[in-house]
Amino acid sequence: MRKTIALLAVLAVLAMGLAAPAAAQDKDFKLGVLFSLTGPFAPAGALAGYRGTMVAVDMINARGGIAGKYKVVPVVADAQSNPDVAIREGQRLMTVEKVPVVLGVFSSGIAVPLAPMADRNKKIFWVIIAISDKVVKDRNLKYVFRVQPMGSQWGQSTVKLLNDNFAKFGVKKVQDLKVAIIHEDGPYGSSVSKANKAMAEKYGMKVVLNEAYSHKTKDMSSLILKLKSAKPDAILHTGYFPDVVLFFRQARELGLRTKAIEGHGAGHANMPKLAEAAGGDLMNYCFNVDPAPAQMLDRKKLAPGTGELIGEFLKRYDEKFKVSNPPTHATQGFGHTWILLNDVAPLALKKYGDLSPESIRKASLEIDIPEGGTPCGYGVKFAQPGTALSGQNLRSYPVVVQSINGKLGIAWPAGLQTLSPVIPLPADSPFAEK
Amino acid sequence: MLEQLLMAFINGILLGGVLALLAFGLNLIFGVVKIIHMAYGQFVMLGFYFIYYFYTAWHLPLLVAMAGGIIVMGLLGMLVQLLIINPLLDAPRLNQLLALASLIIVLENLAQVVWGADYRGIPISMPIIQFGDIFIRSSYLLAFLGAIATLGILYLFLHKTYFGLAIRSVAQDVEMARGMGINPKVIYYITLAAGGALTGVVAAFFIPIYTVHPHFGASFTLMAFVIVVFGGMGNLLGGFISAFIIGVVTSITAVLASTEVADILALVMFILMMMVRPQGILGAKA
Repeated sequence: MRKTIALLAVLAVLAMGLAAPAAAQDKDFKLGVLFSLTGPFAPAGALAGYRGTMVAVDMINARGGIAGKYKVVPVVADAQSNPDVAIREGQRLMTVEKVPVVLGVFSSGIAVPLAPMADRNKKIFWVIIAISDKVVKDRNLKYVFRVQPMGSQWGQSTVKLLNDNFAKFGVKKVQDLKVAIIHEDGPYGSSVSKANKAMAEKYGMKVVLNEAYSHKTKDMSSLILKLKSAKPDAILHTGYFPDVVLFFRQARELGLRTKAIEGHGAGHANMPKLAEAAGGDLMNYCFNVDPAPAQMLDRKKLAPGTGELIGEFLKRYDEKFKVSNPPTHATQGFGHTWILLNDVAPLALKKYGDLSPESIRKASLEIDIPEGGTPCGYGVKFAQPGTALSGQNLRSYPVVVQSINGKLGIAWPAGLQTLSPVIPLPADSPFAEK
Repeated sequence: MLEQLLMAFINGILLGGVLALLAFGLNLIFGVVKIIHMAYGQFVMLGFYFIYYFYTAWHLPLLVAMAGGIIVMGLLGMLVQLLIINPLLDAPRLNQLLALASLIIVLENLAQVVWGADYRGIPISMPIIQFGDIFIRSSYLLAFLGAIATLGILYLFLHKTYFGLAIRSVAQDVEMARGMGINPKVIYYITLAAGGALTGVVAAFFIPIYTVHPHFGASFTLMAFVIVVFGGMGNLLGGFISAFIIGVVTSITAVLASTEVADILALVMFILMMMVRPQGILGAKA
């Protein structure tokens, strides 16, 4: 007993000894990290985003912290895939933990309500995965910054790919192309599908079906029956993981036939995982829009040093999480956190003398990174306050990739192409027209 | 359009089979133990994980993995009886509900700790059944046949065996059954084991349809609950019929309007039933 007490006393003294310098350390930068670490959004990409962020934090700290001086101390909160919890946790990070920056959020359903709250509290909300236009559009927020492209860009990219390749569908003019749009009914699916429709109508394509469903649905067969009778040349699908798998499986059993299937991130983002769960033949030749995962970028086209940075990120990610081919969300988590800690924060320190939300806000508005200068490939220039997209990075864009026999290549835009898109679906696809 | 409606009808019948299968266990447990198994959907989720685990980690043949999953779920059902239901048998209804509701949180988090937050699925390529332009979904057809077989087996078990007779007598009148020398606790154990095994059966039939994640079960509990109450709580045949009604109505509505409207309609039907005939289709008036 006496021994135990002595041991506890020693431990207590040690703990105090360890805690004291940390508490005295005023050169810590508390970074609020908010992701859905549990619940359905976690496996869909929130967890990968979180992991990417943590690798960026590790790498900055290994280099002596922000500008070699400020150690980054992440304060992690779990949004639990639930907007109510997310708002409570976001509020706690801003007001109780008093972090200058809250970073993260996978789901647009969480980012949309959280963004104005950050503005009210005058704390930076650094949005790094959620893509719905509504997060920033027409809100004139001053403390919210989003590095990744917007949902409408997703919806436009797939239709542009169809427009560029319409001849492959065997139609004489693009106006003869029949497209069907199906999407989950949350802010993410709605904003992507709206852009799908606007873009398709702009090109004069025929939208033969446009229908929403709940991503929690347990049966999609009625929707598939409607698709069958609409006979679209291309299906534009926006959904989360379980509903995308359900769609592929049920569509096969119900004999759906078409010429191209295009996904829009989230459920389609992790193609290897999708192939594992749904069966590889089902999603073979499927397209997906997302910012390119770092490992797919042509490193020769990037700014000097960026390729090495990506190499270190991939190595550390693999070592820490045993994933050698991380999904795009990991790249976004890493790259967008890296931009904050490596570019924006040092500028705030240098020019405005501290890491307060106000200084970071001003530095963000001034940051100017050209194309190829970040681990995500694209550059960074935020829209200024007073404009429609205030806080949105105007230089980011997604690419359309196609999965062919387990390999991914960039099919659009033409400038970044690493493969020529395979259209129509070849005979070895279960959805190929016979 | 007519062809589409015919397809939707067939589809609704098959969906009804899947829903009926889902509801059997919940119904049985309520009928006998008079307890609402709040964590029923989570049991289906666990069953799915066990089958997945036996199949991928132990490399058992799929059918053996499924049998293993059903047995484990039966044992887990008995464990729930031992640890949660037994101590609360005479407690107020609310306490029982809360205890089983908290089991939801325990099971979901347990699954997350053990298997992680990832989606897991076994990619099975089901045969395609086609008559001209009419496609029959084989995964649903299998579940539909499974539902009919399960109902048959349950009927034989309840009506032709001693245990079945004992279960029915306990369901009808616990005190009288006790007077006849039946120990209700033993019957409860058997019922929970059967209910647990049924969640394993559901999981086995769901393998070709869904992918599983720790929060997979929640919406199934609601769906099963709606079917059970709609058909008459504790009445297996009532649940069976209501599953088909809900399956066909939602399937046809989804084609005529949209899947979102179909979901709303199913719940509106449920509310109307509660107002007009609270005991459900085949339920006895309390």
